[in-house]
Amino acid sequence: MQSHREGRTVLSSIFSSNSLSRLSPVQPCVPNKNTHSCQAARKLEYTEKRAERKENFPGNMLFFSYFKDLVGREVTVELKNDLAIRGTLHSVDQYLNIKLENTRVVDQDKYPHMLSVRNCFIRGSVVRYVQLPPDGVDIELLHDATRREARGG
Amino acid sequence: MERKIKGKKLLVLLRDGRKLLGILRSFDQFANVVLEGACERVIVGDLYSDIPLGLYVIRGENVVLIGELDSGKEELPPHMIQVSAAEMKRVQKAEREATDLKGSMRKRMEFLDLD
Repeated sequence: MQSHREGRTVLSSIFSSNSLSRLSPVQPCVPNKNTHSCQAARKLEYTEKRAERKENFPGNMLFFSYFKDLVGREVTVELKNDLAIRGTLHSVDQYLNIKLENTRVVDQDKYPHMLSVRNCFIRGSVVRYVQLPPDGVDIELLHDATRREARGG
Repeated sequence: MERKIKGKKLLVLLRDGRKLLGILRSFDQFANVVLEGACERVIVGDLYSDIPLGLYVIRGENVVLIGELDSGKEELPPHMIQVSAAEMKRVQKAEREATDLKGSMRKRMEFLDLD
């Protein structure tokens, strides 16, 4: 929200400077040049801000930051090979690779080889579901974030 | 964290269901993994066998999970019995034949289901 508004004010100031330069009748050359450079600088500033924002929140980073907020919570990760592992979320990265601590396999008898695995790294591409704690989702926040994302940041 | 697990014994689960054990020597952001002294753990029923493989470089896309083995705990439930690689080969063959037989029997009986 905040960043979007910022973008708008920068844009409107560009327009206002443009209209000013058109309105000023005296010495058309020099101020025009000035406003042009000013405009260019503002445009540059705008694109820089956009780039900065993009860097901070690129399009696919929403769920990354979402999962980052979930670190330390107990989750169950269900994999595409039907293995389900419960554990404390230790960390997550940009690929949504997941590290779990104090893991236990939900169906232990079926997967005896996982008995002594306490900490594990799960590749993001093999995850089917992440089952979250019931209070793990701030729906309002996620709504806002997705709307912002849909608007194009 | 990453530094700590280098040189530790790991279990690597692959997409084809294989379970590799070995000492982690290196890895990268794609989950490409280098395992030293790798062996494949074959489990059939209550029998298991570790088949030595040597140095393995695993391409990350095949990795499902990398698990750190807790040295304080037994790797497998106590009722499981270790057998030699040769014995495991025989067991696997018998298991395969049993499933094949089951498949062919089902195929032969298919006409019954049509009625």
